[in-house]
Amino acid sequence: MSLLAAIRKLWHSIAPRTGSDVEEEFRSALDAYQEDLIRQGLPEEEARRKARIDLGQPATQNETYRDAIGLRVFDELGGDIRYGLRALRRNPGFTAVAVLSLAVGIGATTAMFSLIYAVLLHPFPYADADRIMNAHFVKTKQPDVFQWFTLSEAQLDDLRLAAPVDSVLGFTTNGHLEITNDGLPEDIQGVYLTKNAETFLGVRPLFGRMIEPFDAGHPVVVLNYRFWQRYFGGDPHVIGRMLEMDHAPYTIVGVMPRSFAFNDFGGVGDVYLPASLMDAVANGPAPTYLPWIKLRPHVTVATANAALDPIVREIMKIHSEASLAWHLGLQPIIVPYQQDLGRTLALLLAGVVLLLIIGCANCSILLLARGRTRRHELAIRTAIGASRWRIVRQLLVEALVISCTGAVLGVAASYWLARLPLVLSPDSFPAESVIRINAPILAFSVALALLCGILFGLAPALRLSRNDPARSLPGRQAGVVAAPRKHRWSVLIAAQVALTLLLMATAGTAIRGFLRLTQMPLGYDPANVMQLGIPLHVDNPASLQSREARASYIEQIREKIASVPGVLTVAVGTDATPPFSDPVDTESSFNIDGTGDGEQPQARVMLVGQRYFAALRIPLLQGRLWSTDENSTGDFIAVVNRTFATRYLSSSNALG
Amino acid sequence: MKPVELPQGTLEMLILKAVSLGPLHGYGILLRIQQISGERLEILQGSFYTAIYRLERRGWIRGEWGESENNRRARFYSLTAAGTRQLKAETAKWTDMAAVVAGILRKKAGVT
Repeated sequence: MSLLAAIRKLWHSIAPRTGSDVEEEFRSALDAYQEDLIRQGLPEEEARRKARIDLGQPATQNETYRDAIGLRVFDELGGDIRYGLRALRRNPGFTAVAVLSLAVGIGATTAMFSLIYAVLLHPFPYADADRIMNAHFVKTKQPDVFQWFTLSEAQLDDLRLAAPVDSVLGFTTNGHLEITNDGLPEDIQGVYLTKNAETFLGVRPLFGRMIEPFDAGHPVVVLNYRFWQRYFGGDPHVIGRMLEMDHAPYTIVGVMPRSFAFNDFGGVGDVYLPASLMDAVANGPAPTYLPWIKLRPHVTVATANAALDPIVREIMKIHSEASLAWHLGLQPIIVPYQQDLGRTLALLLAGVVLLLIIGCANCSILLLARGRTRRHELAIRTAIGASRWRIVRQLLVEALVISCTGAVLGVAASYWLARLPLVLSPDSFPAESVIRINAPILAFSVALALLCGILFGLAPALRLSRNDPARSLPGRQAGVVAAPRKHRWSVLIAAQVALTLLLMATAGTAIRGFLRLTQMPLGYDPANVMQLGIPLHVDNPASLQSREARASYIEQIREKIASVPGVLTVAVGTDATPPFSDPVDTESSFNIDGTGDGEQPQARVMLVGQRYFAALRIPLLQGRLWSTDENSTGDFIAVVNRTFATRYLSSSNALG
Repeated sequence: MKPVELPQGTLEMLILKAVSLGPLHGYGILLRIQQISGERLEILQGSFYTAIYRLERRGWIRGEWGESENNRRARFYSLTAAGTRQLKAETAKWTDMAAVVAGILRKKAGVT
């Protein structure tokens, strides 16, 4: 059934008969009655008159009909709306101010809501996303310290058998792959997914298909939307083509939709590959995967933690005493974002709600002010018999007309407004949350518009309808009536000023906080320093087996870059400048000779070239850096930071 | 005989009854009620169609266009199943109420 037919059917069930149908029936009754009267001896003209007096006019019969079946209210409301629109058009200045002050408030609130909806309420495209858990170990004494763990394919299978577990997806953090088709080699991120990826994630591909169990061992690849756009220019015929990566051909079998950006903490992949291909890539121990655990419905995180902790320990064969300080901590995949963004968004929402309240107060004041000039008109309506309810209703409908117009403008504006935070700070939001105006958000703004209309319209409507025609009618000198109401006005205006001040103060504090953040000492000087990530793809790994060979290879690259005109210093390191870019911890355990008791300390180890500290102007507190010679032989030499020194080496001198 | 005035709400019941005897157009219903009552009912013609519309809206009578006895297009009303039930219920209610009221009014002083 088409939409039009559906609407017609609905309308038919509300008002089954048309006006002309009703009128025709009535005319036929009128004629019959008239003929009867003539037969009884009345002259024709007289009969016609009497018939109409007794039965009524055909022209008004439809009104009788609509009244009888209860449609009168709608007719009157329609009249009120038309009247309200006309009144607004007559006062363009008033209308513009009222509508704009509401549009700003409603627009901002809708934008905030759609942001919150997209980011916190519904950010992921995966099936049953609320049941998908990040898995890591949490230090019992310090809940904010946690450690990811990886499992091998066999261990994942064991985990799948556990009672609270619905299914488990294993994936790798992104591996660097090099496109070796024609032209410039390009470094891309490959994410390997276990064979149940399709059913676990439940995302319908844009083209082709997701990785399926039968792909095991076949060189197939599924493309990320952005990569597909960038590299293939959004070519819809890409399925079945070849993509050569690291000198091996892969068949493209699918393109994922825009909203699919698996995965946030491992880095969004450009291509997705079946995990079975890992065996070919990795040489050495069986490859391991980060698990995403989908719990069964109605299993709480706490129960799952309690049930899975011993199972995971068993699977991973962790039995050491030190491990008891840690426990399994499952975490819904939305939580990291809630922690990072929840408070910011709540603050922003509070701000825009204040803005909306100010807009409403503004409209209330405007309506009241206009009400003084309308007192005469309303008094006449009361005098000729309009009930108070009728007048309140009409004034409310006018307020609603204003608020709905404001809402339409506001929603249109929010379409752009909602994107603003994403444009300004793209990294703080889940890559997968796509901000768009959809049904829940539209419902939200419609509800908002109605609420606002009633909020700012009710007080003026009640005030204005309580008016005595005997007092307001004789003249239009409203001064006498208005005098005692002045203080109510000042309350509204005072509230408005107070809210505005509050909002400005909050904004001021936020800006100051931001400025302080930009001036925070980072421990190094970032001026004129640029970082460049170079993934090392080595065609023949055997040639770089020794440390010396590796060091000289890297030195070659470094010198090449240093020879570029304009480059002053070049330093190398295994990670970028702090704060570290890689969210997955690269902490390593270490032991300092002579200590080595109790729990194993951990530190972030960063392999850097000798010029690293000079380039970033990091001051050396004690001792020396290593020399070029030591560098080229690849000796084990370390420089530690002050925090490290005070924490672990407090008693002895760190040097040596 | 003096014309009788209808208590509120009874007009709809009478219309249901009139229609239950066979399909009729609006004016015909009016005539039939007057005729059965022996011309003693003075129906307010203005409220008559309101009652018809309301009955049709509730689904107790159903209107269909047809030809009247003098070849005029007219809308004929007939009783629906729901209307039949309603008429039965209303009749029972009315007889009950009338009996009770009449019983009380007939009561003579001194007799308990």
